[in-house]
Amino acid sequence: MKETLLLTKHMRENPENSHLIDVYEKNNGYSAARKVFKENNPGDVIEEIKTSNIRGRGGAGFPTGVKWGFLAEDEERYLVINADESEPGTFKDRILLERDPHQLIEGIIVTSFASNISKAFIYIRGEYAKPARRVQDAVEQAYEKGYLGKNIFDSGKDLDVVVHLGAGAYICGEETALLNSLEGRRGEPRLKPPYFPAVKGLYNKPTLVNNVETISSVPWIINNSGKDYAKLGVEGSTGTRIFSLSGHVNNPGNFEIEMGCSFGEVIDNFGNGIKENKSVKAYIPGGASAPWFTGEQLDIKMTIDDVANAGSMLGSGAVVVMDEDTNLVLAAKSIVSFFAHESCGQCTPCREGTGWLYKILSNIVSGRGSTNDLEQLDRIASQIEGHCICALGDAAAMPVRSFLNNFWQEFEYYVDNKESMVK
Amino acid sequence: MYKQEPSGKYLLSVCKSISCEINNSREVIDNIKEFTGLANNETDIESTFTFEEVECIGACGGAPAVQVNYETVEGVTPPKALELCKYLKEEVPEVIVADDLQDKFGGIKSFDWAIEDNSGTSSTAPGFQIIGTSEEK
Repeated sequence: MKETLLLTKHMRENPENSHLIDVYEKNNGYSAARKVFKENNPGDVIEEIKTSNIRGRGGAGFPTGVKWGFLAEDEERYLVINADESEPGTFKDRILLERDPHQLIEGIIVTSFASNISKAFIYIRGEYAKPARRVQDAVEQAYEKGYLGKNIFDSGKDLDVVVHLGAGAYICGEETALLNSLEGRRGEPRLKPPYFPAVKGLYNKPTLVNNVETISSVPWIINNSGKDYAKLGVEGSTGTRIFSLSGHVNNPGNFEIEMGCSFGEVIDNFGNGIKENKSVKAYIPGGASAPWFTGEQLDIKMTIDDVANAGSMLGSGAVVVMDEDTNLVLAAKSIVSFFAHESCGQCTPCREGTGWLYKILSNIVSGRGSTNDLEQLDRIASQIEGHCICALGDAAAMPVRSFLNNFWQEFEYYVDNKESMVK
Repeated sequence: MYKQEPSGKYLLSVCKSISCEINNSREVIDNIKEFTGLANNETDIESTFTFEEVECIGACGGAPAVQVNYETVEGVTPPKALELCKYLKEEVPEVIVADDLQDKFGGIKSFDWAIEDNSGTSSTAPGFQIIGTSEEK
């Protein structure tokens, strides 16, 4: 089993200077941008993306071509790149920003051309100081070359790209909260409807919001074809995907693979197995928001639909592996503390619910819990689910219910004996 | 990231999210707390250190991870965390360079950083200096 390198090919072949515009161009860079301007048919570009069947890489997995397709008509339209990668376990956008920023910029140029957009924003989380510097440098290089700015590629079209830094809020990864933050408002998700920023987004104008990995895939699709892309992976989950593997594996890291192999294969092949040859007790298939799987479920296939059918989600593609000696009560507390900290406080069920989940789990960890508390956790989780404006509440509730369902025994042992099953 | 009080010269942010948590970040936190004598979100009297426990900083493959003024250092073992604090206190570097700290105190990385980088930060709010496109400059 091998990696299939589309997005990470350039950075692998030119490890020391893949971030420079000259090196990128020498390796066929900006050829997709030149191609679309030469052919000058935006409809074809959107068609090509639709054919590729690529689905958004941010977490929700919405088909990108469809999203581009219903961008409303208006004089002013915007493109926003969501680089607010904060899902625990995920570090795939970081490598794309740090080591191949021009691929992203080329993707932005092609996307803007296809949708007739003349202003794009890259919203990077504030903690990513180094990636932000790299992207800013790359944007400046592109301006100098005339690939951004006025009359780009002598096409008569203008495109400005603004790099914007967030201020450390997970919720600003939610697209409408991101738009609010970009407008200078508080980073709180907007009420729906309108359901899609493609209708009413930034400054109430039609806006495309796409993930870094999604837009970085665009140049490859244009250089080759949507059909070639759709041949990779499996139906419903086409193309490659960068999985972030972390936790108790021997060789953590980002691996670009075609979707469709099983989690167990990836952990053995790319992760080199579990540290000290232990066995897997639990793993998270798609970032902290995703319900946990047990060590017996390692043969689940890594596709958006297979994971969803098994009761979890592929989310951002972050696989966190926990070995047999992991104290799951502490791991659960870490997850819940994350959501309690990151809830924006707009909806009561999420603001109060995540807070109580954290307080109760802290109580259990310190040895003051009871079985009643475990039932209470489940009740609170069920009352958060589906009762909030955005998905953060659900993202906090779903993992709680999954680790209670799958590992009830371990939690019960902890409250009865006031210590963990594992030493 | 938003602070209601000024930070010390060095802002130490230790990740406590899931991948770091299961890779012993608690001991890193304990060691830094013990060395600096600070609790979460506190700054010392000399304004040298501010310590905070933070949620995921996108360095999960290199757990446990620490940021110094938002420059990421990966694979920081508990003893290395102590050395890092000692180094900052004694050498008082003006500019924090991630690659430099990674060489001295880091370990396993999320991915190969590959590109040599000597740029760094000299402030606890690196992202909030003026950045603009070359056209505007």
